Amino acid sequence: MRSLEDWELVALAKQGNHEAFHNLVERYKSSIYTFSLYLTRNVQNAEDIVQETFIRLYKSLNHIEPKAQFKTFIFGIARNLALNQIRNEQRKNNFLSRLFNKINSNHKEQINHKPEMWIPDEKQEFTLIVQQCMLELSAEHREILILRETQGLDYESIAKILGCRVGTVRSRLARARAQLRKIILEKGITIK
Amino acid sequence: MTHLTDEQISELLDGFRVLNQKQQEHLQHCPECMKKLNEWQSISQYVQNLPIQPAPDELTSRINYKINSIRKVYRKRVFPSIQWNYTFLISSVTVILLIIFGITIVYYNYDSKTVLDNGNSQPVSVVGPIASNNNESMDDLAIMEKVPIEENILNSISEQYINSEPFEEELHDITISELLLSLAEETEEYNISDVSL
Repeated sequence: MRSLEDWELVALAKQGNHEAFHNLVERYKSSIYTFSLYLTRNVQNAEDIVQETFIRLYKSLNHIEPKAQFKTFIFGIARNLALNQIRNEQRKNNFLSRLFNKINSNHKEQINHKPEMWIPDEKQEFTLIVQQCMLELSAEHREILILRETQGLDYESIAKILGCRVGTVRSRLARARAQLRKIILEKGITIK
Repeated sequence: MTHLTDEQISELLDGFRVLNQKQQEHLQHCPECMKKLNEWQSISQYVQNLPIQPAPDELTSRINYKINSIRKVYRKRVFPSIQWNYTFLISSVTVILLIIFGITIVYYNYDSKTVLDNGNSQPVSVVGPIASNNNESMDDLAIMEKVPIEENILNSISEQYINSEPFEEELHDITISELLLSLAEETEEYNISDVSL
Protein backbone atom coordinates (compact mmCIF):
# COMPACT_ATOMS: atom_id res chain seq x y z
CA MET A 1 0.00 0.00 0.00
CA ARG A 2 2.90 2.34 0.79
CA SER A 3 4.25 2.27 -2.73
CA LEU A 4 0.96 3.42 -4.23
CA GLU A 5 0.71 6.92 -5.59
CA ASP A 6 -1.59 9.44 -3.92
CA TRP A 7 -4.22 9.30 -6.63
CA GLU A 8 -4.21 5.53 -6.57
CA LEU A 9 -4.95 5.70 -2.87
CA VAL A 10 -7.72 8.19 -3.58
CA ALA A 11 -9.20 5.81 -6.16
CA LEU A 12 -9.14 2.99 -3.63
CA ALA A 13 -10.64 5.21 -0.96
CA LYS A 14 -13.42 6.10 -3.40
CA GLN A 15 -14.26 2.40 -3.59
CA GLY A 16 -14.63 2.32 0.19
CA ASN A 17 -11.15 1.13 1.10
CA HIS A 18 -10.67 2.63 4.51
CA GLU A 19 -7.06 1.55 4.74
CA ALA A 20 -6.23 3.57 1.63
CA PHE A 21 -7.73 6.68 3.15
CA HIS A 22 -5.92 5.99 6.40
CA ASN A 23 -2.69 5.84 4.42
CA LEU A 24 -3.38 9.24 2.95
CA VAL A 25 -3.96 10.60 6.44
CA GLU A 26 -0.71 9.11 7.68
CA ARG A 27 1.16 10.40 4.66
CA TYR A 28 0.03 14.00 4.89
CA LYS A 29 -1.09 14.75 8.42
CA SER A 30 2.29 15.98 9.66
CA SER A 31 3.03 18.05 6.56
CA ILE A 32 -0.33 19.74 6.82
CA TYR A 33 0.07 20.14 10.55
CA THR A 34 3.43 21.87 10.07
CA PHE A 35 2.06 24.07 7.30
CA SER A 36 -0.91 25.01 9.49
CA LEU A 37 1.33 25.70 12.48
CA TYR A 38 3.47 28.11 10.51
CA LEU A 39 0.40 29.80 9.12
CA THR A 40 -1.77 30.10 12.20
CA ARG A 41 0.95 29.86 14.88
CA ASN A 42 -1.63 28.15 17.03
CA VAL A 43 -1.49 24.49 18.07
CA GLN A 44 -5.23 24.00 18.54
CA ASN A 45 -6.07 25.74 15.29
CA ALA A 46 -3.49 23.69 13.42
CA GLU A 47 -4.99 20.46 14.77
CA ASP A 48 -8.46 21.58 13.79
CA ILE A 49 -7.25 22.43 10.31
CA VAL A 50 -5.67 19.02 9.82
CA GLN A 51 -8.83 17.28 10.99
CA GLU A 52 -11.12 19.41 8.85
CA THR A 53 -8.84 19.02 5.82
CA PHE A 54 -9.19 15.24 5.90
CA ILE A 55 -12.91 15.40 6.57
CA ARG A 56 -13.34 17.65 3.53
CA LEU A 57 -11.14 15.37 1.50
CA TYR A 58 -13.26 12.39 2.49
CA LYS A 59 -16.49 14.18 1.66
CA SER A 60 -15.22 15.23 -1.74
CA LEU A 61 -13.73 11.87 -2.70
CA ASN A 62 -16.41 11.21 -5.28
CA HIS A 63 -16.00 14.60 -6.90
CA ILE A 64 -12.26 15.00 -7.22
CA GLU A 65 -10.41 14.06 -10.35
CA PRO A 66 -6.68 13.46 -10.68
CA LYS A 67 -6.00 16.56 -12.72
CA ALA A 68 -3.08 17.99 -10.77
CA GLN A 69 -0.75 16.92 -8.02
CA PHE A 70 -2.66 15.54 -5.04
CA LYS A 71 -0.49 17.67 -2.79
CA THR A 72 -1.82 20.76 -4.54
CA PHE A 73 -5.35 19.71 -3.82
CA ILE A 74 -4.90 18.85 -0.15
CA PHE A 75 -2.71 21.87 0.64
CA GLY A 76 -5.28 24.05 -1.09
CA ILE A 77 -7.93 22.83 1.32
CA ALA A 78 -5.64 23.30 4.30
CA ARG A 79 -4.66 26.77 3.19
CA ASN A 80 -8.26 27.93 2.82
CA LEU A 81 -9.09 26.58 6.25
CA ALA A 82 -6.03 28.26 7.74
CA LEU A 83 -6.96 31.59 6.20
CA ASN A 84 -10.46 31.28 7.63
CA GLN A 85 -8.97 30.56 11.04
CA ILE A 86 -6.67 33.55 10.81
CA ARG A 87 -9.56 35.80 9.80
CA ASN A 88 -11.70 34.50 12.65
CA GLU A 89 -8.87 35.03 15.13
CA GLN A 90 -8.35 38.56 13.91
CA ARG A 91 -12.06 39.30 14.15
CA LYS A 92 -12.19 37.84 17.64
CA ASN A 93 -9.12 39.79 18.75
CA ASN A 94 -10.48 43.02 17.34
CA PHE A 95 -13.75 42.47 19.12
CA LEU A 96 -12.04 41.57 22.39
CA SER A 97 -9.66 44.51 22.21
CA ARG A 98 -12.56 46.90 21.65
CA LEU A 99 -14.48 45.29 24.48
CA PHE A 100 -11.62 45.37 26.97
CA ASN A 101 -10.67 48.90 25.98
CA LYS A 102 -14.14 49.94 26.94
CA ILE A 103 -14.30 47.96 30.16
CA ASN A 104 -10.85 48.29 31.55
CA SER A 105 -7.56 48.96 29.90
CA ASN A 106 -5.85 46.72 32.48
CA HIS A 107 -7.44 43.70 30.90
CA LYS A 108 -5.35 44.09 27.79
CA GLU A 109 -3.06 41.37 29.08
CA GLN A 110 -5.87 38.91 28.70
CA ILE A 111 -6.04 39.54 24.99
CA ASN A 112 -2.40 38.77 24.48
CA HIS A 113 -2.56 35.66 26.57
CA LYS A 114 -2.74 32.78 24.12
CA PRO A 115 -1.98 29.50 25.83
CA GLU A 116 -2.18 27.54 22.58
CA MET A 117 0.34 29.73 20.80
CA TRP A 118 2.98 27.65 19.06
CA ILE A 119 6.44 28.28 20.43
CA PRO A 120 9.11 26.25 18.64
CA ASP A 121 11.16 24.23 21.10
CA GLU A 122 13.81 22.98 18.74
CA LYS A 123 16.89 21.61 20.47
CA GLN A 124 19.24 22.74 17.76
CA GLU A 125 19.79 26.41 18.37
CA PHE A 126 20.31 27.40 14.79
CA THR A 127 17.17 25.63 13.58
CA LEU A 128 15.25 27.30 16.39
CA ILE A 129 16.48 30.72 15.25
CA VAL A 130 15.45 30.02 11.66
CA GLN A 131 12.03 28.92 12.89
CA GLN A 132 11.67 32.10 14.88
CA CYS A 133 12.75 34.17 11.90
CA MET A 134 10.19 32.37 9.77
CA LEU A 135 7.48 33.23 12.26
CA GLU A 136 8.42 36.88 12.04
CA LEU A 137 7.55 36.89 8.36
CA SER A 138 4.09 37.76 7.18
CA ALA A 139 1.65 34.86 6.73
CA GLU A 140 1.83 35.41 2.98
CA HIS A 141 5.59 34.95 2.94
CA ARG A 142 5.54 32.09 5.42
CA GLU A 143 3.12 30.03 3.38
CA ILE A 144 4.97 30.48 0.11
CA LEU A 145 8.31 29.54 1.67
CA ILE A 146 6.86 26.43 3.31
CA LEU A 147 5.19 25.35 0.08
CA ARG A 148 8.31 25.88 -1.98
CA GLU A 149 11.10 24.87 0.39
CA THR A 150 9.66 22.20 2.65
CA GLN A 151 7.03 20.75 0.32
CA GLY A 152 9.10 21.22 -2.83
CA LEU A 153 6.16 22.34 -4.94
CA ASP A 154 6.81 23.97 -8.29
CA TYR A 155 5.58 27.45 -9.18
CA GLU A 156 2.52 26.20 -11.05
CA SER A 157 1.35 24.10 -8.13
CA ILE A 158 1.92 26.93 -5.68
CA ALA A 159 -0.03 29.25 -7.98
CA LYS A 160 -2.93 26.81 -7.95
CA ILE A 161 -2.91 26.58 -4.17
CA LEU A 162 -2.69 30.31 -3.67
CA GLY A 163 -5.10 31.07 -6.46
CA CYS A 164 -2.78 33.48 -8.23
CA ARG A 165 -0.62 33.65 -11.32
CA VAL A 166 2.80 32.06 -11.68
CA GLY A 167 4.34 35.51 -12.06
CA THR A 168 2.94 36.50 -8.69
CA VAL A 169 4.41 33.37 -7.13
CA ARG A 170 7.80 34.20 -8.64
CA SER A 171 7.88 37.72 -7.28
CA ARG A 172 6.32 36.85 -3.91
CA LEU A 173 8.82 34.06 -3.35
CA ALA A 174 11.70 36.38 -4.12
CA ARG A 175 10.35 38.95 -1.67
CA ALA A 176 9.87 36.29 1.01
CA ARG A 177 13.46 35.10 0.63
CA ALA A 178 14.77 38.63 0.71
CA GLN A 179 12.72 39.37 3.82
CA LEU A 180 13.91 36.24 5.59
CA ARG A 181 17.51 37.06 4.77
CA LYS A 182 17.00 40.52 6.19
CA ILE A 183 15.50 39.19 9.45
CA ILE A 184 18.29 36.64 9.88
CA LEU A 185 20.96 39.28 9.31
CA GLU A 186 19.24 41.64 11.75
CA LYS A 187 19.59 38.98 14.43
CA GLY A 188 23.32 39.14 13.91
CA ILE A 189 23.59 35.71 12.41
CA THR A 190 26.18 35.15 9.78
CA ILE A 191 24.82 33.28 6.82
CA LYS A 192 27.37 30.80 5.57
CA MET B 1 26.00 46.00 -16.05
CA THR B 2 23.09 46.01 -13.63
CA HIS B 3 22.95 43.51 -10.80
CA LEU B 4 20.74 40.49 -10.91
CA THR B 5 17.30 41.12 -9.48
CA ASP B 6 15.92 39.24 -6.45
CA GLU B 7 13.48 37.49 -8.72
CA GLN B 8 16.25 36.34 -11.06
CA ILE B 9 18.33 35.03 -8.17
CA SER B 10 15.31 33.31 -6.69
CA GLU B 11 14.51 31.59 -9.98
CA LEU B 12 18.14 30.70 -10.48
CA LEU B 13 18.10 29.10 -7.07
CA ASP B 14 15.05 27.05 -7.95
CA GLY B 15 16.53 26.01 -11.27
CA PHE B 16 13.76 27.70 -13.24
CA ARG B 17 15.98 30.27 -14.90
CA VAL B 18 18.83 29.92 -17.30
CA LEU B 19 21.08 32.96 -17.35
CA ASN B 20 22.16 34.32 -20.67
CA GLN B 21 25.79 34.87 -21.52
CA LYS B 22 25.92 38.43 -20.17
CA GLN B 23 24.20 37.54 -16.91
CA GLN B 24 26.52 34.60 -16.35
CA GLU B 25 29.56 36.78 -16.90
CA HIS B 26 28.18 39.38 -14.53
CA LEU B 27 27.51 36.82 -11.82
CA GLN B 28 31.04 35.47 -12.08
CA HIS B 29 32.61 38.92 -11.79
CA CYS B 30 30.19 40.59 -9.35
CA PRO B 31 30.99 39.61 -5.72
CA GLU B 32 27.80 41.30 -4.52
CA CYS B 33 25.50 39.20 -6.67
CA MET B 34 27.49 36.05 -5.95
CA LYS B 35 27.30 36.71 -2.21
CA LYS B 36 23.57 37.24 -2.44
CA LEU B 37 23.09 34.04 -4.37
CA ASN B 38 25.14 32.07 -1.84
CA GLU B 39 23.24 33.56 1.08
CA TRP B 40 19.92 32.78 -0.49
CA GLN B 41 21.10 29.28 -1.20
CA SER B 42 22.02 28.84 2.46
CA ILE B 43 18.71 30.28 3.63
CA SER B 44 16.90 27.95 1.28
CA GLN B 45 18.79 25.04 2.84
CA TYR B 46 17.90 26.24 6.33
CA VAL B 47 14.22 26.35 5.55
CA GLN B 48 14.32 23.01 3.78
CA ASN B 49 15.93 21.48 6.84
CA LEU B 50 13.30 22.81 9.20
CA PRO B 51 11.81 19.80 10.94
CA ILE B 52 8.34 18.65 10.09
CA GLN B 53 6.29 18.97 13.24
CA PRO B 54 4.77 15.59 14.02
CA ALA B 55 1.01 15.71 14.33
CA PRO B 56 -0.21 14.53 17.76
CA ASP B 57 -1.19 10.87 17.91
CA GLU B 58 -4.65 11.62 19.22
CA LEU B 59 -5.24 13.69 16.08
CA THR B 60 -5.26 10.52 13.98
CA SER B 61 -7.80 8.96 16.34
CA ARG B 62 -9.95 12.08 16.10
CA ILE B 63 -9.80 12.03 12.32
CA ASN B 64 -10.64 8.31 12.18
CA TYR B 65 -13.52 8.78 14.58
CA LYS B 66 -14.94 11.62 12.51
CA ILE B 67 -14.50 9.75 9.24
CA ASN B 68 -16.21 6.68 10.69
CA SER B 69 -19.18 8.72 11.85
CA ILE B 70 -19.45 10.35 8.42
CA ARG B 71 -19.23 6.96 6.77
CA LYS B 72 -22.07 5.68 8.96
CA VAL B 73 -24.23 8.60 7.92
CA TYR B 74 -23.42 7.97 4.26
CA ARG B 75 -24.13 4.27 4.63
CA LYS B 76 -27.48 5.03 6.23
CA ARG B 77 -28.34 7.26 3.31
CA VAL B 78 -27.33 4.81 0.63
CA PHE B 79 -27.95 1.48 2.37
CA PRO B 80 -30.59 1.83 5.08
CA SER B 81 -29.86 -0.09 8.24
CA ILE B 82 -31.10 -3.62 8.79
CA GLN B 83 -33.44 -2.39 11.50
CA TRP B 84 -35.08 0.01 9.09
CA ASN B 85 -35.32 -2.80 6.53
CA TYR B 86 -37.23 -4.96 9.00
CA THR B 87 -39.64 -2.15 9.78
CA PHE B 88 -40.20 -1.58 6.10
CA LEU B 89 -40.69 -5.30 5.46
CA ILE B 90 -43.20 -5.71 8.29
CA SER B 91 -45.14 -2.63 7.20
CA SER B 92 -45.23 -3.81 3.59
CA VAL B 93 -46.42 -7.29 4.53
CA THR B 94 -49.13 -5.81 6.78
CA VAL B 95 -50.37 -3.53 4.02
CA ILE B 96 -50.39 -6.37 1.48
CA LEU B 97 -52.29 -8.64 3.89
CA LEU B 98 -54.84 -5.90 4.56
CA ILE B 99 -55.33 -5.39 0.84
CA ILE B 100 -55.80 -9.16 0.28
CA PHE B 101 -58.22 -9.33 3.22
CA GLY B 102 -60.20 -6.39 1.87
CA ILE B 103 -60.38 -7.86 -1.62
CA THR B 104 -61.52 -11.21 -0.21
CA ILE B 105 -64.33 -9.62 1.79
CA VAL B 106 -65.52 -7.60 -1.19
CA TYR B 107 -65.37 -10.64 -3.43
CA TYR B 108 -67.43 -12.84 -1.11
CA ASN B 109 -70.01 -10.11 -0.52
CA TYR B 110 -70.28 -9.65 -4.22
CA ASP B 111 -70.50 -13.38 -4.80
CA SER B 112 -73.37 -13.80 -2.30
CA LYS B 113 -75.44 -11.31 -4.24
CA THR B 114 -75.15 -13.16 -7.53
CA VAL B 115 -78.44 -14.31 -8.84
CA LEU B 116 -79.63 -16.84 -11.32
CA ASP B 117 -80.20 -15.27 -14.62
CA ASN B 118 -82.67 -16.71 -17.15
CA GLY B 119 -80.47 -15.46 -19.92
CA ASN B 120 -82.89 -12.99 -21.33
CA SER B 121 -81.83 -9.95 -19.47
CA GLN B 122 -79.18 -7.75 -20.86
CA PRO B 123 -76.78 -6.03 -18.55
CA VAL B 124 -77.74 -2.43 -18.76
CA SER B 125 -76.54 0.39 -16.66
CA VAL B 126 -78.94 1.85 -14.15
CA VAL B 127 -78.14 5.27 -15.34
CA GLY B 128 -80.12 6.22 -18.38
CA PRO B 129 -83.19 4.55 -19.80
CA ILE B 130 -84.06 2.32 -16.82
CA ALA B 131 -86.01 4.94 -15.04
CA SER B 132 -89.61 5.22 -16.02
CA ASN B 133 -89.22 8.90 -16.11
CA ASN B 134 -86.55 9.42 -18.75
CA ASN B 135 -86.46 13.08 -18.05
CA GLU B 136 -85.10 12.51 -14.62
CA SER B 137 -81.95 14.32 -14.05
CA MET B 138 -78.63 12.53 -14.17
CA ASP B 139 -77.86 13.61 -10.62
CA ASP B 140 -80.87 11.77 -9.27
CA LEU B 141 -79.97 8.67 -11.21
CA ALA B 142 -76.45 8.78 -9.97
CA ILE B 143 -77.75 8.82 -6.43
CA MET B 144 -80.09 5.95 -7.17
CA GLU B 145 -77.32 3.77 -8.40
CA LYS B 146 -75.55 3.86 -5.11
CA VAL B 147 -78.45 3.44 -2.71
CA PRO B 148 -79.15 0.08 -1.03
CA ILE B 149 -82.35 -1.77 -1.74
CA GLU B 150 -84.55 -3.14 0.96
CA GLU B 151 -84.49 -6.84 1.51
CA ASN B 152 -88.16 -7.49 0.68
CA ILE B 153 -87.72 -6.05 -2.78
CA LEU B 154 -84.72 -8.24 -3.32
CA ASN B 155 -86.64 -11.27 -2.19
CA SER B 156 -89.48 -10.60 -4.55
CA ILE B 157 -87.09 -10.12 -7.38
CA SER B 158 -85.33 -13.36 -6.62
CA GLU B 159 -88.62 -15.23 -6.47
CA GLN B 160 -89.62 -13.83 -9.82
CA TYR B 161 -86.44 -14.93 -11.39
CA ILE B 162 -86.53 -18.38 -9.86
CA ASN B 163 -90.09 -18.94 -11.01
CA SER B 164 -89.58 -17.63 -14.46
CA GLU B 165 -89.26 -19.99 -17.45
CA PRO B 166 -87.15 -21.31 -18.99
CA PHE B 167 -84.89 -21.93 -16.05
CA GLU B 168 -81.26 -22.21 -16.78
CA GLU B 169 -78.61 -23.11 -14.32
CA GLU B 170 -76.19 -20.71 -15.83
CA LEU B 171 -75.10 -18.15 -13.30
CA HIS B 172 -74.47 -14.60 -14.21
CA ASP B 173 -73.06 -11.99 -11.98
CA ILE B 174 -75.47 -9.15 -11.87
CA THR B 175 -75.33 -5.97 -9.96
CA ILE B 176 -78.09 -4.67 -7.83
CA SER B 177 -78.63 -1.88 -10.29
CA GLU B 178 -78.95 -4.30 -13.18
CA LEU B 179 -81.32 -6.42 -11.17
CA LEU B 180 -83.45 -3.44 -10.40
CA LEU B 181 -83.45 -2.46 -14.02
CA SER B 182 -84.59 -5.88 -15.16
CA LEU B 183 -87.35 -5.79 -12.65
CA ALA B 184 -88.49 -2.41 -13.82
CA GLU B 185 -88.54 -3.59 -17.41
CA GLU B 186 -90.44 -6.77 -16.75
CA THR B 187 -93.01 -5.72 -14.18
CA GLU B 188 -93.30 -2.07 -15.04
CA GLU B 189 -94.60 -1.75 -11.55
CA TYR B 190 -91.57 -0.45 -9.89
CA ASN B 191 -90.28 2.90 -10.55
CA ILE B 192 -86.80 3.20 -9.35
CA SER B 193 -87.69 6.37 -7.61
CA ASP B 194 -90.30 4.46 -5.62
CA VAL B 195 -87.82 2.17 -4.07
CA SER B 196 -87.26 2.98 -0.49
CA LEU B 197 -83.82 4.41 -0.42
